[in-house]
Amino acid sequence: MLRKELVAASAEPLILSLLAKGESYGYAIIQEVKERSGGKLNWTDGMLYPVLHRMEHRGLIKARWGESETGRKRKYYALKKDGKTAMAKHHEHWMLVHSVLAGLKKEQYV
Amino acid sequence: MSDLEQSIATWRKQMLAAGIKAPVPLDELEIHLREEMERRLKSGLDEQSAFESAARQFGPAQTITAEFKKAAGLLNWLGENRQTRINRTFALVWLVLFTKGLMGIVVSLAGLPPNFKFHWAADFIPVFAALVMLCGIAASLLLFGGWLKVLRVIRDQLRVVGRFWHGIGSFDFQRHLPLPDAFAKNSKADFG
Repeated sequence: MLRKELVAASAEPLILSLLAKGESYGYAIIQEVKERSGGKLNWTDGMLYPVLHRMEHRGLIKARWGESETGRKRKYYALKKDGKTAMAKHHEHWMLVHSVLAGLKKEQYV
Repeated sequence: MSDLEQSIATWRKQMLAAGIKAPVPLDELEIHLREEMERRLKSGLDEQSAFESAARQFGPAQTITAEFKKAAGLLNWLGENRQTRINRTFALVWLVLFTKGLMGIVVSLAGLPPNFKFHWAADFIPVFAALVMLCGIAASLLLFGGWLKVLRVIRDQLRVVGRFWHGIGSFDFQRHLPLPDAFAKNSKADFG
């Protein structure tokens, strides 16, 4: 299981990257993260929404109310221009950390 | 009401009591809870177990409220980039001025005694507000260029004002400014 701090820090870049594929809603976002991480990134469901609302306030994503195929009300989130910029920054930073770690591992220090 | 609906209603009450605002985001949270319950029901759990495990997976109401409070901070509201921050700051300033001006006009027209009237200058505050808004647009244009951005700036500022009013409309007065019991009882009697 991943450390709580790492899970929290990865929430924003993961949400932005998932929304870059197209609009989505809270439940689907959680399920996709769970699936893609093989169940290792298991967010507490309720914690996703403050993050989504914070990102909406910051102008990174936008929300609209819609309906599912079964007629259930849903709040859909989509990426905004500022969100794309933030996502690019996140990728750059995470790739930097990854490359440093990978380099050290290659040299067998990790 | 079925047992399951009763459990969901109790869960909503707990969320409200912890300070989660209704209808948004509480409705959104409930929709999520129901979807998770459905998934657990399909996997073979009975209704009550599906509800309890989904509610547990949701996390404690107090922690969620604390996270929402962080999300509503002024810096988060002001926005991620410089243009958004400028738009929102100007929108807030012209909203305050405009409201003050309108109140001045309404009170003047209502024919109240002179002591209760606002200062005559208040009638002109909407003009100042409009000027502030124009300055906001001009500042955005000077800083970021492009005449087409005028429409975007106006749209953003109007959206901020809309959200601000919506925020006032959904303010939970009873929770933040609770009335004494005696007053509440009298009010109920007055309104039947």
